[in-house]
Amino acid sequence: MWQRFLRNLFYKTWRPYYLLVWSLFLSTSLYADGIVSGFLSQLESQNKKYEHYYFKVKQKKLALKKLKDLTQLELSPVEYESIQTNTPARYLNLLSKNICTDIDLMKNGLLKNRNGTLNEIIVVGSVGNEKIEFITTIYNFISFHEKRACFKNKDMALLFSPENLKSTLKTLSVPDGQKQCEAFHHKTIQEGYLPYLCGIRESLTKNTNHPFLSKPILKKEVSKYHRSFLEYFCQNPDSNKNFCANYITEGVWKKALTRDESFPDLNYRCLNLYNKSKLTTAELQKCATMIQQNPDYCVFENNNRFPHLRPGENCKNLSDNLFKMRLKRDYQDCPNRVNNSVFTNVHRIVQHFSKAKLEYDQDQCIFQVHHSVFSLLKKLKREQSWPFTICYMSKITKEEKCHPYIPGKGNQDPSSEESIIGKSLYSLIGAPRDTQCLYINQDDYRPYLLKYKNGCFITYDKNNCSIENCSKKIIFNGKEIKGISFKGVSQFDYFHNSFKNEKNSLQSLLIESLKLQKKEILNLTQLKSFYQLHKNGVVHGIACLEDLIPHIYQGLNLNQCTPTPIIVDHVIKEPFSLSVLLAIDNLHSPRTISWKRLFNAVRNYRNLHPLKLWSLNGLY
Amino acid sequence: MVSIKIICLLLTPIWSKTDLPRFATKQLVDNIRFISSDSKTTYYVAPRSGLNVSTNYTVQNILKGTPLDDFTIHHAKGSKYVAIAQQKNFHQYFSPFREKDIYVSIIGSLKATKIDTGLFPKIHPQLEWLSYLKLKENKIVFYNLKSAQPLFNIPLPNNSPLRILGVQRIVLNNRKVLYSVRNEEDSPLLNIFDRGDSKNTTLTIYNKFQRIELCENGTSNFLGLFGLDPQINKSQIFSISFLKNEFIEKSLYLSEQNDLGQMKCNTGQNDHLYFIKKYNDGVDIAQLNINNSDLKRISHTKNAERLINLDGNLLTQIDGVAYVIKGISNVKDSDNLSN
Repeated sequence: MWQRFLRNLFYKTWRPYYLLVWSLFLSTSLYADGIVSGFLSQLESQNKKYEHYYFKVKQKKLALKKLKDLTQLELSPVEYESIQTNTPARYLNLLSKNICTDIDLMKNGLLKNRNGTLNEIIVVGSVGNEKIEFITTIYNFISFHEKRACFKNKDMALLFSPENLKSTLKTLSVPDGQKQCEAFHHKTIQEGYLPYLCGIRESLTKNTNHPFLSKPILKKEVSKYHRSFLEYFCQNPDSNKNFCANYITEGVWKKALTRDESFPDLNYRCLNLYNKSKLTTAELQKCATMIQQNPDYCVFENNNRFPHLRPGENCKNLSDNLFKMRLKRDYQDCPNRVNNSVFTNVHRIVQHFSKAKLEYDQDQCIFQVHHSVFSLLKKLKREQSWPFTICYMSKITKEEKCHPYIPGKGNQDPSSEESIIGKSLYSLIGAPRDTQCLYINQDDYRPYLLKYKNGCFITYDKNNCSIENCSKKIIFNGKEIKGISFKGVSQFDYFHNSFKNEKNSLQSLLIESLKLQKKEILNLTQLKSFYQLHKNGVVHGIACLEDLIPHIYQGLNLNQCTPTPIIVDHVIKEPFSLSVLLAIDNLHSPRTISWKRLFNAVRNYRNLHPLKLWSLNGLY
Repeated sequence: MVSIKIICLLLTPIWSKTDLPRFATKQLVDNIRFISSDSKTTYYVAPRSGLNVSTNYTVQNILKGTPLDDFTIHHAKGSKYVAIAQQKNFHQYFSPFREKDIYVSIIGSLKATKIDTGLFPKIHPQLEWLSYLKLKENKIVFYNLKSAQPLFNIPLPNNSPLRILGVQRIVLNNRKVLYSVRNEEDSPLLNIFDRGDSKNTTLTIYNKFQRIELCENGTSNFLGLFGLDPQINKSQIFSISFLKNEFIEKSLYLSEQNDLGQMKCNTGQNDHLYFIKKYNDGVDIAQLNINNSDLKRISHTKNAERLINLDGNLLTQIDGVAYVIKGISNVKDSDNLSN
């Protein structure tokens, strides 16, 4: 018993440090004495014994030719002992519970002997009363038993064939709730999934070949969710509590790693934290642990690349808010770099109803936000209502010509600043028709370098450039081009401010362009009912910042209001708490705001509105 | 009897709002931006013309505007000036960081002079100074209302507009200004700026989950520290002074709750300070006696999250309705607005 305990202890904790322990012990007197040294020498002697025995049996050259004549076939005691010594302890509990489980463990490469993964093994075959010890391949051993007793093993193997792997994994989704999770863990083991699941896990984590699934298949069919699931499951086959702790008690951050769909709130938070554009799973896990253990981190979370309003909720509250968040948010926007927050709110609504996925790029962020609004107008052929234009004096007509453009770095988009400037240069100075300019920070522009000698460049001062007020230079083939001006102020009716302009409000554009419907939300009952009826609906509005976040932004004067576009995402806790995303908030950091506050904030804005409009509506 | 009790219980939330008198004016309250304590001067928004001022039985337009613009009036009890902030296209351009046009005017005068663009104008009544924030330039600007001259600037230690939102300041004397700002680590700093040598000195660095408020009334100054939920659960109010360059705090109030604060100490009754306190049943206005630290709840709305000092009258706004907490509730008979 104590030997098994020691062996388990050794394999669980020390084996990775075997050499280190070995050399350390060699240099100390400890090695000579005590239980550990006894165990190490026992291990060594077992392995030597196995080697010796293996060659001894092999020399007999008793290759099994007539497998079908055997009445019984089992592992030789020496082989069994070697497997017990070399197999990771977590899989040993299953060993020899019944031969069919052993077969599945072998088949999936989980059992190891002195030589590593089982290939040739020492077996004892029975023909009548006679017992013969010989060496055979693992394939023969498996085949023998599958033909005689383990018929069901083939069914299980079929579930994990390349064709069925994806659908089988799909059925393995950990349910919410402690009891349900523990029951799920128990059932998964009882039904014999463990060898197959952990075989995949071993292959993925160690990047080794899987016995019957190719690497591309594994890469394609095993999602991020199931990679984490396999890790938690195969680390804890004998403890459903430890397994479920990863799903139940860790909150949304760690849980994010265990969900099938990507969890953008963690991904984008961690990208910012690591200042990278891509993260490894290990970095993501480390980041999730950090957030989990430091709930205060989120309050003053600073995102220099995608700035937003602070302070926000702590990570614990945020975890509760994000858990049920409805708004699609598999991208990152930059509220504080967009002057007028109506654009950010509309961008978020457009993205919610869109299937396209935005690229993660801080340079393109401003463009992406404005592009969403521009695309609504373009779809309705109302580009003339777009406020931003690039203008120049036409040499032919002697009249000012203006083209709408989308502010920000937009690369190849035909409505981007780079393209519209190129188009203007064609008309103005006869530059090539397909001229594309390069948006570049003035400090990075080095005219003496060859690459800047030819072509078109738009230079700007990164530290002193807002959408409406930015001194830019247009340089074509090394010469500054005058006569092109940027016009427009980023103002727009969010809801209509006059009956005359009702059709051109941003809400109307959303409804018309995305073919949505509108429902006025006047009270909490209507809000809840909207969420129930329209699972993909969005509730948006305008409310006074002074009432939404009075602890941060105070209303000092009579009828003072700083109108802010909002998205009311869901009811967090009955009866009154809501998850609300202000347009100036980080997309991944909704706030907890009571219905009372929200109502007050909408009502106070209504008092100031030229048409006394109620500004909280559901779109679906 | 039982049914009466049930009806009473059901009506409690409604009554809780109506135990305060509504602010009654001749004009629509929504349009009013300022009424002087004697009710003789009223500034109100006239959607078609801009900002109007009514005084001495006359109504005149003081600043032109469109229905899409908005105005706020900034005043401090004891000052004869007002600062007017005009936000053009208020209903089309939403940003807390957008600078407004700042005008100054003598109360009741029909002349308003534009001095700059900026945010959060504040009048310091003791010296008749005005201060406001410049986001792009990252500074607090001080302006002398009497001489109509800019005075000096306090450069802020970091350039994040997000940190500037919480900047508070009070004028200690014509040489020194006490102000708060968050540093790079987001901790609130209490700084003193000496005009003489343009030197900034940090007096205290507080916990980053605390919020600083400063209040001045010409004779006394107060410091409020309020925790941010749920990291810190503590609120403190101190009377502050400087004796031989030594910063002295005298504690007036301590609570284990995070009050909303919004301290008002300049209401004409300088022995009391008012703030929004968290009670077990909601938030309401508390009156703190600065001499003996006595605390009294003076509203029972459970929902008063704004505290407005309208030239000494204390108001709150709940669900779009203005209620009077302290002062004159009915100015219908005394204001001079045309109907």
